[in-house]
Amino acid sequence: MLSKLLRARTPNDIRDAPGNTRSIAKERLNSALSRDRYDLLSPALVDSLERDILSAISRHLEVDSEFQELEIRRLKDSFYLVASVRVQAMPRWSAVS
Amino acid sequence: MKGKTIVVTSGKGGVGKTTTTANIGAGLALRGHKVVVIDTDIGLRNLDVVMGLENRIVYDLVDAIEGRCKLNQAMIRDRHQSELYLIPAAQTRDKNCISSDQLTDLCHELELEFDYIVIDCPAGIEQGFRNAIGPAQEAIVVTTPEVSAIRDADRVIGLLEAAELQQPRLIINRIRPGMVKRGDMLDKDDIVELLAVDILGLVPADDRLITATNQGVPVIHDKKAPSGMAFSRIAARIDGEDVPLMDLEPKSGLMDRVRYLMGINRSEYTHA
Repeated sequence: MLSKLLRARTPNDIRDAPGNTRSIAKERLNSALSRDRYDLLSPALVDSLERDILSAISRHLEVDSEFQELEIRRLKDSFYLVASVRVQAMPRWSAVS
Repeated sequence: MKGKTIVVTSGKGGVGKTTTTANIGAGLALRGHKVVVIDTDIGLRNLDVVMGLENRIVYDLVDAIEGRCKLNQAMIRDRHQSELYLIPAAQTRDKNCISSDQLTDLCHELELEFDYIVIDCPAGIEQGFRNAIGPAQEAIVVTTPEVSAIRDADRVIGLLEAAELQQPRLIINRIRPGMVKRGDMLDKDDIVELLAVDILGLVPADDRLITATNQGVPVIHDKKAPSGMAFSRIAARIDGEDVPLMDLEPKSGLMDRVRYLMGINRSEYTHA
């Protein structure tokens, strides 16, 4: 009983225990910072992202020069990059030699 | 000679920006450099009183910028170090009465004469903040291990990076090692992970800092003060020396362990 009590009080257990106020603070900050950064996301970033993704895709597929949709979207506590672009012509798949 | 201009920012007020500026200035001067610290918190000046120079002010920053005095007339020599000067803020004006360009010109002039120019930035992210970061080549962000201060630090780091002040470095002030050990305070690793910046220094919460400030003496002159030692190390790092981070461990004598187990923490640090 006593040994169990003492073991439970080793510094690292206490420091890293979920539910202590440090963990709560970290979790709350993590989501607050993500939300703040999302709110402040610059259109310039989305523009350059669009350019770079398009140039990568067009090395493999013939696609429109603009996205139908491209955005970083928030769903609950996570953030998703959602993008869609129209494929102009489907390539003929051939066996790679 | 081409000096370096460093701005000390935080976003949130009351985290120790002014005290940090005073101690970095004093620390760099103790290392043999010629240093000027500038209070840009126009309307709410404080660096003078933290350094114990409040009774020596004749002219201020706005007087120098608007040409009512020569630049060297607005510089007050420190009481302890002959190579440390203060340019105080004006108390009766507001932050919009100077521009970023004017302050930049003034700092360029100072860079010819001084090794380091350390700017104390006002709290907030408005005009006063933009003025203060304008002349800087390097930025320091001060925070405390509290959610509000860290959130504001994140915002300020973003603004500094947008202003092309790359890689601002972080000082975490008022750390209470006992609370960190009990899991009741964010530690340096948590904060680094959240903010993704480099650490410039860790400063323990310290009663001696309060008593030093009461007397208008930067705590770096108190050889027994843990916070003073932390600021010495910070000054050394700014000066390019590779100093390991201070090991902030709660005291571990028998009585301290008993107090610790009982959740009582009288003294929170040892100096490693």
